[in-house]
Parts: sequence; C-alpha cells; structure tokens
Amino acid sequence: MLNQVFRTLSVLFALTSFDACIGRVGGEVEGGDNGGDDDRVQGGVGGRSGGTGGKAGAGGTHVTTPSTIASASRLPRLTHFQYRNAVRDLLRLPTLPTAAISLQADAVLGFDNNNRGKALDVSFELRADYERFAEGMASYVVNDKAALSRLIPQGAPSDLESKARSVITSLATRAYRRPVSTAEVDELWRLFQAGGTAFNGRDPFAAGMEILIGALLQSPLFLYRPELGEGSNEAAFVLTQNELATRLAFALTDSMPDDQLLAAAQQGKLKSSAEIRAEAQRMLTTPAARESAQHFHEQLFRITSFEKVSKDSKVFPSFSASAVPSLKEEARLFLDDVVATDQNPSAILLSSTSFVDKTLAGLYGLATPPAEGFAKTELNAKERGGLLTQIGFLAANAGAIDPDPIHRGVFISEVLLCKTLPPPAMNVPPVPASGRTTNRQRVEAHTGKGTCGATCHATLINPLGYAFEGYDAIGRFRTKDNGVSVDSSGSYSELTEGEANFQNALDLTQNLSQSRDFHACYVGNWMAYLWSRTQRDEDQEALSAIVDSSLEGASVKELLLTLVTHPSFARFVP
Amino acid sequence: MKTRRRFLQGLGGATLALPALQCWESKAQAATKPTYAVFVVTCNGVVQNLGTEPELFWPSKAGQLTSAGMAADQATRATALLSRHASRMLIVRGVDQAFRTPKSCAHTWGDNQCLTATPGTEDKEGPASSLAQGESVDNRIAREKNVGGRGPLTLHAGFNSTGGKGYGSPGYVSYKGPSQPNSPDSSPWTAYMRIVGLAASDPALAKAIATRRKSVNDFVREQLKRLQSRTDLSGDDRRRLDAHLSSVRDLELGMTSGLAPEVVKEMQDLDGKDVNMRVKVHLDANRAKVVRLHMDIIAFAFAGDVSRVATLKIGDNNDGMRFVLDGVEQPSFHMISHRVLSDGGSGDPIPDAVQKHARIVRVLMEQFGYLVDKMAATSSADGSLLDRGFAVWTNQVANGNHDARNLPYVIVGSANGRLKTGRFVEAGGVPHNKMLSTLLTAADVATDSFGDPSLAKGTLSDLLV
Repeated sequence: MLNQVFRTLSVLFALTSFDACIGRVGGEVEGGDNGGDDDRVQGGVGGRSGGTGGKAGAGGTHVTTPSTIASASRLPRLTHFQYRNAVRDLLRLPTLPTAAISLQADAVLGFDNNNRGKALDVSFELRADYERFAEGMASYVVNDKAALSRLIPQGAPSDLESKARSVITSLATRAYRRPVSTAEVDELWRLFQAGGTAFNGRDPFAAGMEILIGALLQSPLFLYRPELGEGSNEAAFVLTQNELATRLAFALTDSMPDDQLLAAAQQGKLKSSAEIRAEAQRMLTTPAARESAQHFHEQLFRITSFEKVSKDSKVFPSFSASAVPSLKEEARLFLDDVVATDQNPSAILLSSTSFVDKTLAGLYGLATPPAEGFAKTELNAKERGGLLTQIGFLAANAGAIDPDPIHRGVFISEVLLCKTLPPPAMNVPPVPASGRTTNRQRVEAHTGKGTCGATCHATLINPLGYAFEGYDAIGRFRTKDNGVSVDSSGSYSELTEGEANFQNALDLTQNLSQSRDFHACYVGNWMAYLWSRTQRDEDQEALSAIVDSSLEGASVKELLLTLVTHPSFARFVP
Repeated sequence: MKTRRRFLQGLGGATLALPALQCWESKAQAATKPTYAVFVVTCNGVVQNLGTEPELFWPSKAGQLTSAGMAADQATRATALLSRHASRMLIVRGVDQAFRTPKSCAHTWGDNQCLTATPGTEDKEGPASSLAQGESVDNRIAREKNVGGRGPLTLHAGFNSTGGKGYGSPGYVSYKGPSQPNSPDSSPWTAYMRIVGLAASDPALAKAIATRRKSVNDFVREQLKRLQSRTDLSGDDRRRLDAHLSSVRDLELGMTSGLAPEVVKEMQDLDGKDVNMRVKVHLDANRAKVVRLHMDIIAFAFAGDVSRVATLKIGDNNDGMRFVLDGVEQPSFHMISHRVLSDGGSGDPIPDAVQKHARIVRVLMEQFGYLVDKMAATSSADGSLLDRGFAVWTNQVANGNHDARNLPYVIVGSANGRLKTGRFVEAGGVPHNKMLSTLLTAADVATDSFGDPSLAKGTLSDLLV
C-alpha cells in the first residue's frame, strides 16, 4: 500500500541548478579570491607602512609561510571538492549528477583544505546539506539499474542477507578506506534492514541499498580522514598503510584511493619510498590528479577573480564579459600543460606556449584564430611569456580604463614571492588631480619617491607593476600610453639574489624565474597543500632541498613526487 | 535535464509543497514570546560630517523623530528615507568602534568587530587574513533562542571571495567563536532550500523518511561517539566532534507554506553560473535582486520561527560594486568611498565622489526600507515583525576614511516593547560593545558585558524601556 503512496504522493528534495562544479575545479568553494577592489594601496601618511615591532621592518615585506593548515588534527574533514570527488568515485559514477546539491561553503581563508579559521567543521547547516546530498545520491543510484549493479561485487550470492553483506563489505571498505570488522558489517546490515522497515512494501534490497548509501555518505569515517595510527597514544607516529594511502590519494587526486592503491595498502606495499613513489607516479597520470593540480593552481593564482573583470565599453568596445570563460580556460590549460609536459615551475613565468580560442586570438592580435575550441599556440615571444603576460592576469589586475600597476605589483609580491606587505595606511587624504600624461606618471605622482607612499610603493610594489605597463587594461601589448612611449623599466631589490634591474615585463619575469624566492614560494605552497599541515621549523631543511632541485630544473611532477615520498609526509606530527 | 528528473523521481514525484523543518523538542518551548532580530551590515561607511565633509546621513535634529520632521530632511539625509517608520525608529549617533587602531585592513578590522566587539587577529598571512576573536551577537541570539540548535541565518550579497589569500577576505561578520566565522549563503536559492528542506505532501511518506533518517542519525551518532572515546585527540578535534554530534538532529517534517512561486523561481534562476561561467549572485547586475530575495527569506524564516536572528552582509571585505546612477555605471563603490580612482589613498580624484557616495548610501537605505516594510507587513496575533523584533542597519566603518567614530546605527522596531523608539539619540562617544549589549538585551538576551573581556561593561540604558 505504501508502495502506491510512494508512487502517487510526492516529495521534493532540495535541488539546485548547480551545474558547474561536476568534475571540474570551482564548485562551492570559489577557488581563488578577489583580485579586485581592496585596500592594497596606501599612501603611508604617518601611517602604518613603517611597520611596528616584528611585523615588517622599515617598510619591508614580511615573508610568510605560504599557508597554515590544520596542524594537529587527527580528523581532517574532506573539503567539498574532495567530498564530491570521493562520492563520485565511491559510487563508481563517471560524474556526479548535475542536480546534486551544493554544500554550504566553508569559511576558509587560503587553500580550501586550510583549517586555520577552524572552517572545516560540520555545522548545523552543513550537516543538513550532507543529509540531503546523501539521500539524493542514494536515491539516484538506486533508481539507476546500471549504477546499482556496478556496486554489487561479482559472484555475490543471491539471497538477500548474503548479497547485502557482500555489498556492505565492499562498499564500506572503500568508504572507510580500510578493512572493516565483522561488527561494522553487522552494524550496517542492521541499518540495511531498517531501510526496508521504514519503507514497508518496497523491494527490500533497493530500500536497503538506499539507506546504506545514504548512511555511508554521512558517516564520520567517510567525511573525515581519521589518522589514528596503530592505536598508539604517542604524540607522533607513522600512519597505517591505509591511512597513508588515503593521505596520498587526497593529496594528489583530491579523492579517495582507487582500487589499486587500496590493494597496495592492504598488502602493506606502501612501506619504502620507492613503493610510494611508484604509486604516486601512477596516480599523477590520472585525470583526477590533473584536476587536483588545476584546483590547486586556480586557488593559488586567484583564477576566480577573472570573473570580476569589467571594462569601460566605450574605451574597449572589443571586450565584453563573454571573454571571461576564455580567460579562465587559457590559464587552466596553460598551467595544466606546464605540469603535464614535465616542465619546471619557471615555465609558469616564461613559457610563451599557450592555449587560444577565437576570442583570445582577437585580443592577442593573432592572424589565424583556431577554427573551433582552444588550440595550443605559440604567442609572440617578444611580447608574451608566462602567466603574468596572459590577458587574464593583466585584465583582472587593471581598472576599467587603465592598467593597475599597484594591484599587479601586489599580486606578484604576495602570490609569486610570498612576501606579504604591511597593512594599508588609514585616513589618507585624497591627492589633488595630477595632470600627468601616462598611467605610470599618475601613479608615480601619488605613490612614488618623494611622496607619502615612498616607503612601501616606491620599492616594494610599484616597480613590479610598472614592468607591465606595456600591456593595457585588457592585456593588449602596447608601446605607447596616451601618445607617449611606455616606460616599463625599473629595479626591485627584495630578491634573495639582490637587486634585479629590468627593462620590461619579460626581463622581470626572467629574473623572478631564476630567483630562489619564487621557487621557495611555489614549492612551499605545494608543500602546504599536499602535506595538509603547517610548516614547522624542522621542515625547512626538507623544503630547502626541494627548492634547490626546483632551481636546478626539476619538473613540477618531480617536485610533487619528492614532497609525497619525503618521510615527513607519512608521519603524523601534532 | 533528464538527470534532474530522475533525481526528483527517485523520491517519488513532483508536487510542490514546502514544509519547514521543526525539531521535536521545539514544542516544549512555546512559552515565551520570541523576539526577532536582523543585522544588515554594509561597507565603506556613510557620508557624514566628521571633519571636512558635509552631513548627508544623520537627521538634522536630535530628539523625537516624526514622519513630517524626517520627511523635511529627505533631500539631504539618507536616514530620512525611512520617514514612514519614524515612530518605530531609533537612530543613534556617537557610538564608536571599540577597537579603534586597526592591526589589519581597516575594512576587515571593522567587519571583525562589528558584531563581535572583539579585535581581529593580527594579519600573519596577508593584510586581510584577520579573523574576529569572539562570538557575534547573532550567533549568541541563535544559541540562546533558536529552536533546535539552528545557527543564525547568515546571508551575503555581492562578490564573495571565499578561499582568498591576502586581501581576499570575504568580509565575515558572523562568528561562532574565535576565528570561527559562520559561512554565509550567497545564493538566496541555497538559503531558501535549506529552510524548506524536504517537502512531503503525504504524512505516511514523511514518516517513512523521518524514520529512515532517525536510523541513519543513530548510526552517525554511534560512530561519532566511538571517535570521541579516543583519549589522544586534540582539543580542537574534540570541539569539532562535539559540534558535529550536536548538529545531528532528528527532525520531523512540519507543514508550512512557501514563498510565492514567482519569487522561488527568481531565486532558482539566480543560482549557479551565467553563460560566461560567472557566479550569478556575485554579479553587480544581480545585486539588487539578491538583496531583495535575501530579505524575503529573512521575513519568511522569522514568520515560520525557523530562526530568530539573521545577518545580511552587503559587500565583501569592502564593497567594490559598480553602482549605476542616472543610467551611468560608476567606478567601484570602494574607490568612490575613498574619493579616488584606486583602492587606496592614491589615484586621480573622482569628480563628485562625495555626492556619489551619498547617493549609494541612499540606495542601500532604500533596500533596507524594503526589509523594514516587509517586516511591518508580516503579522501574527502578537503584531508585526517590527512589533516583535527589530532590524539594525550598520556599517563596518563610519565613513570613507575608515573613521572609527559615529558608526551608523539605524534601528527599526520595538522588540516586544523593549526599545524606546521614535528618537534620534546622541550617545556621546561610547564604544560599540555597549550598543551590542543593548541590542542583545532588546533581543531578550539580557547582558551588559558582551564582547571582549577587556572592555568596560554597560548598556545604553536610555535606549531600553
């Protein structure tokens, strides 16, 4: 009878039209951050640019640890990106259904796996979202015969209890990412039966599978990555083989271990660094690892901020918001290619090989645009080299009319060199109209040498930004600004190697690409992301060695392999 | 769309009914008359006379507020736009930030303390990475007054830079505790669906689902308790498990009506990304709609007693919205507030920036007026939501110069008779923790010591009946 009720009466689950985040980076954690309006600038009238105490010496930059990550947690919670990927993989779906609901965004600062703000909790709202997400997915799978049959182990017996226990064992082993005990199987079998009891009259196997899947997707053993060791209470310990496999999989693929990795863990074949390396190497060739690296880069380089690009349509009739997806896609494909083709991180700053579609071809002034989609393209190496000379970065760090050397400079200082600037000054009085000709002259008049902004802007920010005056507010190459020759020369003295003098952007990026500061910043960010914890003093030696190899030309992939095979990766340190 | 249909049908069909989720334990609590509070926090300050600039915000005369008196100010004072509610208004000048010397970006510094009265952390990872060091008033009200453990309804309109580093602070104002912001919903659709949750037009089916949920919840609780029994967890892990455990609730499906279908459709249409792959609710062009829909949700949530407190933040760490005035798209609001074409103290002056800033504040005040009207129009036997609660309009800073003095406080509603309304009060330079204690008291959470323990206790007793 209830069966009939079930057919005729209705339920509506909360569905969202969240179409965009299936199998792609992005999703509910909006990757990067704003690169737009903020208080980066400051004039420094008796202000804070001088810094106080240990903050930032006399107007100097403050070098930061790239990201502070949950350091002592034995129960790191999956990020939403990881959760969605893991659900997809646990249920052996090619992609999540578009109707899968979005989860309450985490209040993170920095990378999405960063728990500094204690963001990775399960709040009342998020718990409710997990419930609806899990129930929706369970219902989706149970109503799709092919999907359901993929979850039933081959040769499973046909009577209800034996079949159920076989599925439970297989699914729970993968959901918990470790072998399950008889007691745990019994617990889930009781739950399985409760599904049929609640929905009396439904097919008991379907009803059981629905409650089972719904429960596993809400299980703390699935939502968290317990790192408990072998039951020891010691402060620091080596992870179990299963915990290590889990840490490795979520680090490199932002998802659960695949069957091969799980099998290796259960056979104890993740002991030597050679064994770990072999598995990691295999994983790095998977699409999941590429997506994970994209997810990292999207956050690091604030690719989401490109969505905010907005230009004066009278000055730039050729540019509209419809270019935004192209800008983001170019950066995504470019960074993906640097990793996939085994290049050194310096390629991020140097490579003039990029990916261009019709829209971008127009903006880059290329004679022959690709017929459709994106094509791997050599840009003019005299004008372009690396991410910082691509239109996305240049346009996102520019005003509606003029380039914004200050934002461009701050981005390079903070994101590429990990040099945090002192907070902006308070209560700066507006500066009168300048009447200067070029953009650089105007900025210089307000913030350059001899002005109140001299301490911070003239040395730490502006020179980095002026190097890009050869590109207008929509990233087009230019030699004149307002009829006057562009001056993109300058010098920057904050690098470990000493003062860098440059004539233009390509000169500057060449300098940066050989600087220890850039390599340390990039590798340090990867370390924070992959190790999922705060850097400690004792990590500096390891980091330093890896930075050395980066400077010597190691590929990004090789650096990742070094990071995940380092003994510290496999240890839990409170 | 095939997928979606199947997803829907998996649960049995498509009739639309929208029950709110209620906790079983809620029935025991009907004794006291609930008070509803909403905090609207805006960015970039208002235009007021704190030195050289003209006064374009506060009423021209202190003392009693009358509709006629306020209407006479309408051309020049933003607060006068709400003259129709004069008798229910309480406008308070002379309340200053409790922590006046920023150790981070001034906007973030303002956001951090706005509803918490605590200083932010020092920026160690970039100039806007600061987080507040205590609970916010909305969280406190939710913790003490909300039914069923629900947190404050936390909403946000504008670009949201969640995940940012450096200056990418999303501008959190609502906090569970030190360094624990409440994550706001930017999409009205998400917020709305979380309120209405599950709808079942059939009691038998609703019961089956509730029974199944109970079994799953028992299983989850059991697993959480097993983890809790370990002796080697950090304090933070313990806190995390406790919070998770207390969030697991057995809900029954209560019936209520939903918002009008066309409003719901508007929300749904605004969810997700546009053709250019931009998050729709972040776009300037959709801002006004998002604000209005969030306000609809606040009134809806109050009417159904889903939450007794809400916070709406408009703008992120600052507000970079490019408003359209007289058909012309303006420079970013943040730049206008600093009067120059840049996000800091340098750049070419923006012509008429003061007037433009004042115009934008008027737009924001009119939006607030929509919320107030909505609350006035939402009635029960105990009166309207303005009788039974109040709405507060404030800002992270006092003016475009990040001034810490004279934070705007426009309060509308009598809070079940606890607020002495109909007045423009000069507070004379008191730190804003006292204002927050006063507002808590109005929300039936009597206290004189909200905020950082280093601050002097007290309320603005003159505002209270």
